[in-house]
Formats: sequence, C-alpha cells, structure tokens
Amino acid sequence: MRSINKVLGLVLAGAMALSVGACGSGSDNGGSKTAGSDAHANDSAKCINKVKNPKAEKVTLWSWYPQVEKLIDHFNDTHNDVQVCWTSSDQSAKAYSRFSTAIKAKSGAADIVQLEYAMMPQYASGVEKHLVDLNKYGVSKIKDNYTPGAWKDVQLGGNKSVYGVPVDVGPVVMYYRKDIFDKYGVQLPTTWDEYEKAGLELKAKGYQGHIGNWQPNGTLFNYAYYDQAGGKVFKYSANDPEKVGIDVNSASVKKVVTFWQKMAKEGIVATDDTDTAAWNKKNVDGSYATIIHASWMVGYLNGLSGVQDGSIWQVAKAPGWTANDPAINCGGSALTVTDQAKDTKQAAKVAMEFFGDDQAQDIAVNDSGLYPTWQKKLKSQAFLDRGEKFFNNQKINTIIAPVAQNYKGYQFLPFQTYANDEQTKTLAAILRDGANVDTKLDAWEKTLSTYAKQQGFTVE
Amino acid sequence: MSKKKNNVVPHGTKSLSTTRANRWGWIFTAPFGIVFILFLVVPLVYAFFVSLYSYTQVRGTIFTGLANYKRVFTDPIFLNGLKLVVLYTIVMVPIQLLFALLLALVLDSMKSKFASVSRLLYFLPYAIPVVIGALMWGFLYSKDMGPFTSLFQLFGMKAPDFLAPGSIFGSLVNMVTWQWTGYYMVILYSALQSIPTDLYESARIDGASEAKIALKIKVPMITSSMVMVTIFALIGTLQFYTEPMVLRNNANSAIPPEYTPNMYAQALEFNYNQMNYAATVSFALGLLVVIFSVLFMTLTRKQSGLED
Repeated sequence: MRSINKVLGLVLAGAMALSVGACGSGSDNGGSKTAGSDAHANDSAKCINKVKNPKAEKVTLWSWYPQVEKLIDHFNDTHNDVQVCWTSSDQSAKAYSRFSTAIKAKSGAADIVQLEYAMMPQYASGVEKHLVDLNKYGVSKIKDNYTPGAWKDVQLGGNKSVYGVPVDVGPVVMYYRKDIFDKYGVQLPTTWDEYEKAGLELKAKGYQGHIGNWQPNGTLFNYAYYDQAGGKVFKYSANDPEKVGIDVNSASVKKVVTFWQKMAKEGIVATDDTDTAAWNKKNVDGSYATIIHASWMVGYLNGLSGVQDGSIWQVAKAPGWTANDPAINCGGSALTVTDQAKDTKQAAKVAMEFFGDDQAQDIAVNDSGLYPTWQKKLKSQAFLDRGEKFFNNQKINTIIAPVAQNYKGYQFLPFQTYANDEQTKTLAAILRDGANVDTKLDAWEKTLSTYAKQQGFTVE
Repeated sequence: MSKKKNNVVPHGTKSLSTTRANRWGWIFTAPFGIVFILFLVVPLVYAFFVSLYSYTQVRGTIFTGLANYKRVFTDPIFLNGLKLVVLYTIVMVPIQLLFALLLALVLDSMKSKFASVSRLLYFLPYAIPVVIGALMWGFLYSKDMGPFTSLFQLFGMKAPDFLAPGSIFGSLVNMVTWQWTGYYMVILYSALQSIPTDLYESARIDGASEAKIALKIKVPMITSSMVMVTIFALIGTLQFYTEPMVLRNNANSAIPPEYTPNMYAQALEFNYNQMNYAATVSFALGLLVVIFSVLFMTLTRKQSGLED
C-alpha cells in the first residue's frame, strides 16, 4: 500500500511539475522569431485538397472562402515548384480561436492564415507579433494592383509594414424592393432625411413591414455608419502598436445612433439581430423595404429561400448625410503569413500570388462571391457589365465598384472582438429599450478605455 | 483468555488479510484513479497554476500571484453573472423539485398502464440532447417562425416576444424545467418504489387518507433522494451554460456573451484570448459551487442521512 501511495504521489508531483513547466514556457510567448526556411517541414502535412504535384514543396493554408478548393486547385495547377495544402476550413470566430490556440502552443498554425482586416491588429500588437511583415518579401511590387483603402487596411494604420495581401472588401450599398416603393408610390431615398420621410410615408400608406433594419449586433457594419457621419471611432497604428485611440462617444456617433433610435421609436425601422434564422427569413419575405448592407449580401440574398412572390430587387447607393459622404465598407479579409511559417519566403510568395491572376480573380468573383480589391478586376468592363440575375440583370457593379474604389481604409483595435460585444450590448439597450444615447455611449467609451489600459495600452 | 488474545489484532500492525484486501482495493480502484488524476486532478492543478499568471497584450504573461482572484471578486461582469445564476437557482430549483415530486407521487399512486406510459413521456425531454432541446425551443420561441405567433393571432392577440431581454429569463427557466423535471422525477419515483408497502397498509388501517400517506410517509421517506436531486439541480444551475449558449444564436443581443460565469470564462478564453483570467473565473466559480454544495449538505445533514 505504501508503495502505491508513493507511486500516486509521484504521478501527482509529475503532473504538477509538468504544469509548472508548461506555465514557465508560456510566460515568455510573443516576440517575433526569425523567419523559417525549412522547405520540407510540410511534406507530411495532411491536406483537405488533393495536391497535384506531390513532389513539390508544400505551403499550408487556413481559409474559409467559399469554393476555396477551386482557387487552390487553380494555384496548384499553375505552379510546379510549390503546392498549397489546405489544412483547415474553420470559419471566422472558430478559425481565430484555432489560431490563438496554435499561438499559445507555439506550433500548429498554418503558414498562411486568412484573417479579416478587423482581426489583424490583435495578432500584430504588443507582444503578439505573429504576422510577418511582407515588406521583406517584396510586397511593395504588387501594391499598385490593389485599391488604396484595402492596402491601408493591411498596413494596420501604419505606413511601413504590410501584414497581409488584401483579398476582398465589403462595400456598403442599399438593396431595395422596387415593387414595394412602386406599389405605395414612394420615392427612393438618397439621403438619411429622405430615408426617414420615405419610411413614414410607407407606414402611413399601409405598408406592414419596416423600411429597414438596424442590427444591434451588426458589429463592423455599425462602424461603417459612424464613419459615414465622420466618426473615426478607433485609432490604431502599427507604427506605434502600444497605443490605441477610442472615440465611440463623439458627436458623429451620437448623431447616427440618435437618428436610428428616433426611427425605431417611430416604428419605421426594425431592430432585429443579424445572422439569425428569423433575420434570414425577414430579409426576403417583404418585412424590409431596404437592406443597407455589404456587397456580400448579393450572394447571401441569392441563397435564401422563401423569397416573396413578385418581389423586384434593385441596388442603389446607400443614403448619406451629405452629397460627399465617404464610401463605406463592412468587412473584408487578407491572406497573412504567420510567424510559424515553415518556409516564410515561400509562404509570402504564395500569399502574394494566390489571387494574383485573372483566372483566380474570376473564380473569386464568380464562384466565391468575393468583392475584389484587385484593381484590374474592379476596372474590367466585363465585371462592370455583368448583370446579376437576382436583381433582374441590373449591372449592380456599376454602383458597388465605385464604393470599393473610394474606400479609404479603417483602423481597428487589437481587441476588436471585445469592442464589438460591448457595442452590441450598448446598441441593444439604446434601440430596443430606448435608453439614453449619451449615457450609454459614454459608458461604452469608458468600458473600452478601461479594458485597453488593463491590457497595457496607452489610450489616446 | 489466551484464545481471546489471539483474535485481537496487535495495535499498530495490520493482519495479512487486511493488507492483501487493501492492495486489491487499490488495484480495483486504479483504473478509475488513473483517469481521475489524469483528467480531473491534473487539469485542475494546471488551471490553478495558469490562474496565478496574468496576460496582457502589451506586456505578455507575467506572474501575478493571487491578483487575478482579487480582480475576479471585484469584477462586475463576474459578480453580475453570479447574481444571475443564483437568481436562476432560487427560481428554478424549487420549481423543478416541486414538479418532480408531484409527478413522482402521482405516478407512484397509479397502478395502471397509463402510469408507465406517462412516466416515459415525462422522462422523454431528458432523453433529448440539451443542444437539440435548446434549438427546438429557440424555434418555438421565435417571433417570426414559432407557432405562438399564429396561436395568439387566432384570438386576435399579439404573441409575447419570448426572446426579448426582459423575457429571456422566464424562457430559459421554462426550457430547463422542461428538460430536467422528468429526470429528477425518475430518481424520486425509484426512491418511492423502494419504500416497503406494509408501511402504507398499516397507515391505511390507522385510517390515514392517501394524501396524508403521501405527505407524512412517502415524502419523509425519500428526503435523502430529494436532497440529492437538489444538489444536482444546484450544481447544474450554478454552471448554467449550454441552454443560453445555444439560444444566443436566436437572441444575440438579449443574451450577452458573458451571461453566466461559465459563458464568461468561455468568452474570455476563446473570444478575448485571456487564458489566465479565464482559468481564474473557472476556478473561482468551482470554488463557489463547492462552497454552496457543502453548505447545502451541512444544512440538510439530518434529512439526507449524511450525518454519520
């Protein structure tokens, strides 16, 4: 019995030592390590896709673009020296959690990881320098191929380093039901003032739905609204990665939120959460006369069932406060090279070439439904002339492409997920429960500043 | 005299048979013991060590001792979550217990085929996985797709919004009660079945009514099971997680990501990348659950038969 006790004691002690050891090694994480150059490290990687040339060097990729396998096949077909090996298809939050876990474990991340612009600062700030600066690998050569706004996004507010190759953007436009506006004889709004009037008019004339919807959980989307009114809510620069600027209670933000609260009180806009089954249904069943949303709504609407009979969908420029409002954007992503890349140079080359030819861009636009940041595609006549079936063959890109073209880039916080969650709570209280706009936005500002300071950032 | 002496084991040493029995005892418990240590004790110890460090994005991970614990017990989000689960406990546990007891007593006094059919029916919700149950209720509660909207329309009324911030509490209480009452009922029912029936007979001869038998004999006889059920419900509710997590997909802004302490720990770890603080929250919650359970067991020592 005593010997068994001893064994148990040893096991316990071993376990403790293990955890202490694990902690010790965990405490010095962060800091950029030297670039990898092992061309054979991925030889035995298990790929989801079928690699065309098994003898070539492999570069691993995590991505959840729709139809990404087609893009990978295209890349592998056109390259002999290097092959893309797709190792995870996890989407957004799940993908980030996977990446964070791999960072903590110091191994297991892919060479190239798809990241939304808004998530990039989190992995490139403070001690978290996990994205490779592509400047060392000649990224400046392809700079002019992309829209300036998208390029700003991958520079993370700085002007020196480039932390990814921009892939897509989400220019915001207004999708509307022409049949509803026609039926009630209401003019299509072009300014917010007109938008409210049109909403009231539709309601007065007996339209049962709402002119639109403000989603309290719309996260990135809502920042686009603030930006349109001149509200630069977040400041962050890769030049000075330990400083953040938070300005969520400025006069511009208050103006926007007050305006929507007023419309919600008047009963002309809904305040439904996005990305729920109910929201999907209401998008197409005649509950909303307009949907102001990002370009990816095109593919999304296309895929929804239960489209109301007789509906005629069209696209128009989103309403503005003045005639010169900035082009606004919601979302978009880049291919980033991680500090765990086995062969950093090769990974950077793949990231830069993956979407970098006409055929890849065709697949990205036609099959994946991505809105291009690639100038050649954005300006191509075929792209602009393409009629979209869902919108009765309207050439919607003539409206959306200029918005993508004029986008100036946003800055996001290194703890954007937290800021988003806090925004959802704030907006739900304001729009659903009619809480005081000033108090709630001030409280949100305070919460974010406190969090930033707690994380060690200097708050501007 | 000498015979007696032989039977007494000398003080301080153990007989051969006891040592052997001990060894076999250890061997038999070893499979459980190893799994227990590997998957419970080790992670627990590890989590505690992790909670002694702090991570910030700018400074990285540093040893901070018990500072995280000081932070968690003054963290309004954690304390609010805690308040909420305590409130859930106060509301939900008595409701479940009462329903379970009532159903068990009714089923116990029925001897027809109907009884076994209804026993199965009451138990059925427990057989449905919690996630599926929550998804199903999410659909039922939905303003736009659920059946309540059209049901209320029949009477010319507007259906209440079950997923609004104000009504989400009641909606979740209903979901959990629906799912777990049947399970608790089965435990109480089987306890009732083990009561010897001659007790009832003598009570009947003494002129006790069925209601009186239920109240004065059956209920006191199963108090130990009732205490057990309450502890199950208590621990389950304090660790409230799955139902609100699933329902969040339908009521994103009514249920914030840090609604309950468990959800808070999850959000900290997987959304905000704060492993150390998440470990602290988990550990603090575990500590409180243990305290609650021990407190409850001490208070009900007499009823539960745990006195000795």
